[in-house]
Amino acid sequence: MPEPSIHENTLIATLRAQSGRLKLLFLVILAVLVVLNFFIGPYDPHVAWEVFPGFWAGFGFVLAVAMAFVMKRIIAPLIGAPEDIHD
Amino acid sequence: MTNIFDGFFHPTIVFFGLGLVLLLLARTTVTWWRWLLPLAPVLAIVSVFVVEPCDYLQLRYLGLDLSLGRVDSLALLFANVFAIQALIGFIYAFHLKEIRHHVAAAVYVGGAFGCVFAGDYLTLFIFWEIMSVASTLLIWFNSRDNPRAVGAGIRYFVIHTIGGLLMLAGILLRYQVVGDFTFTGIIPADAQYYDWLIMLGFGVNAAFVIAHAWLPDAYPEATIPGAVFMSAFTTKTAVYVLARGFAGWEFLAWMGVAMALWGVFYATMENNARRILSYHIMSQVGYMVAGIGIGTAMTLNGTCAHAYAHILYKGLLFMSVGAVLYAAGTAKLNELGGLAGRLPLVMLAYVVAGLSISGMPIFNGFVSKTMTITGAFNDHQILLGMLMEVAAVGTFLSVGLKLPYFAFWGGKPTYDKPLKPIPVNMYIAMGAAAFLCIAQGLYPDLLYRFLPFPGAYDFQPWSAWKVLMTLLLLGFTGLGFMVMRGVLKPHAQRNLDFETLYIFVGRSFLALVSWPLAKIDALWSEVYERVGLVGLLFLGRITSWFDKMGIDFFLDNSAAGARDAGGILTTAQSGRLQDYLALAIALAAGIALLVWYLSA
Repeated sequence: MPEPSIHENTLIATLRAQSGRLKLLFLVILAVLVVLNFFIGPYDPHVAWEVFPGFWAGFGFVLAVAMAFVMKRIIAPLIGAPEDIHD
Repeated sequence: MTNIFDGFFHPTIVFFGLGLVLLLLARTTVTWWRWLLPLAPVLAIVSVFVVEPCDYLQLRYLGLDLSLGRVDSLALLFANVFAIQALIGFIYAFHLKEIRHHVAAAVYVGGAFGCVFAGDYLTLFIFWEIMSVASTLLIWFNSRDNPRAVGAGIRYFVIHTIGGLLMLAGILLRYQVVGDFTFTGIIPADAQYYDWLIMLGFGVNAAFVIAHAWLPDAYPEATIPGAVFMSAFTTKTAVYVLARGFAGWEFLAWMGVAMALWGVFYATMENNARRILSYHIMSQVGYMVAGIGIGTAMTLNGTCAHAYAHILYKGLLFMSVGAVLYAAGTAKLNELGGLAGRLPLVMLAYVVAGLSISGMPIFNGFVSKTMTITGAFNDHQILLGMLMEVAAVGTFLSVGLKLPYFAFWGGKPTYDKPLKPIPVNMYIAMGAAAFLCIAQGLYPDLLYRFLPFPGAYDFQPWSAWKVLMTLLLLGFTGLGFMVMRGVLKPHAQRNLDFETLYIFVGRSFLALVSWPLAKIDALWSEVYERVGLVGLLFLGRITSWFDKMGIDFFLDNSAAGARDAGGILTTAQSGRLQDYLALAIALAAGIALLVWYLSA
């Protein structure tokens, strides 16, 4: 008798089919957050730039892009090895 | 000796007892033994919740004052989460039929409780080593399914032994100067070289940079429930002892931030999901170590809160990735994809844990990590605080987005091979951990009430700015991921880390030891062959001559006589008929002559 297996869930399949709309929703939320940043600021700023609206948004975006690029495109090829190197 | 059980039932007794009972039942046919697994942690939870802070189990043994039961608010916080995570871990491992695995896990957890309640260095060291041995077994027990576990387990054990020896050296040198083994806080200005040795010994278990590579090397190779246990206890016991002994050491502040960054950098590149999670243990422990190093009440509370939250969400991360590994047989991202539809509950559990570790509002990482970072800024450690924010971006990028995206969502074709159904106990354990992660995020008081340092409620995470700032930081990290997801696509490779150095040093040491030994052995063989063997043969000849010509000759010459007679008889047995006929005729003639002579 073959082992039982797990099959696709229909709700998740429907959501995945709507990924374009979900992306749009995500971008709208990000825009709303930046707009809110014009009205809500730090009471006691930890760093001087924090008072500029969108500072933490830029910080997150730039660092994520830079980290992904540097680690995957520059560092990983330098230190990459076959998975069984220590076997 | 005082009444040792007076008011405190030590959880170590429960877990060591569980291990012993399981060992005794292993050779019987009973099947109810598995119901003992959740019972032990339940007893531990009761013990931790009812005990009053005090010094219990003070023993005098061999002239030494040992303290097995120092119960205070710091120890209780760690014991509290250890007991809860032990329950979750044993529920997760409930289906496992291998009794020896449960024995190792029980001894390991018991050792962790022993460390937490140890009031002296000697007791701490003993339980520390028990943990080290038991956790190594949790790696080796996977060697049937994963041959790589053998080498990783050996490396793990060697590194922990070196760490233990550093610690022991420090403890003994300290004893020589101070005259006792009491384990209390050391003021940085009074630090001596032996204190550094102890701290570095602790640091090996905390995964300090350079000493850290055992963690991402070994944890991905352990058994599925074994990694869940290990993610909770080894590094967090080290965090506890560092918080107890080394608060305010500036070295730790910088080391912690280095760990936080190193972990996320490697996690960004990694392919194996359990190795990504291992790097994130290092990274998150980095926040805790940094909090200890900064050493204000807020950062120390942040460390404690983060350790508590981390044990829950990290256990959940390992449980959900373990469930994927259990079902699919692999945890490599380049082989997985689109599993959200086939493992929706596992995906949900992972997302809760991933958002918790990233510090997203609603989840428990939000109320713990932000406390440490705010504490750093409040102490005017701007650079440390900003570097921790960088690590926060890297955390969300790699473990909050990259891992689930390539395992559960898009990016690659859906994983369409058969999936093994996941036991219900694994779902129960994941559900319990996810519930606690969300409950603590929504009601920080559930966590803050246990914090040991004054001013636990000075920090309020749920302010409009903190929520907005976190959403901006993480939301735009998400946008960065969206842009770079093609670059971040995982590849089947291993990224070399300091484990390569360990292996190189190990092999060099082996060569250094074996090369001279081999040379000496070869030289000795040569000398033996040329001189020794010839000498021995000569000596043999002399003794043989002495035996024959000396002893035997002077006694009765019987040995030589018997030998000569035997020789003649042997040559007489030629097998030729004519010889026998000639001999018979000669014998008959001889007998005839003898008869004639006698009768004459």
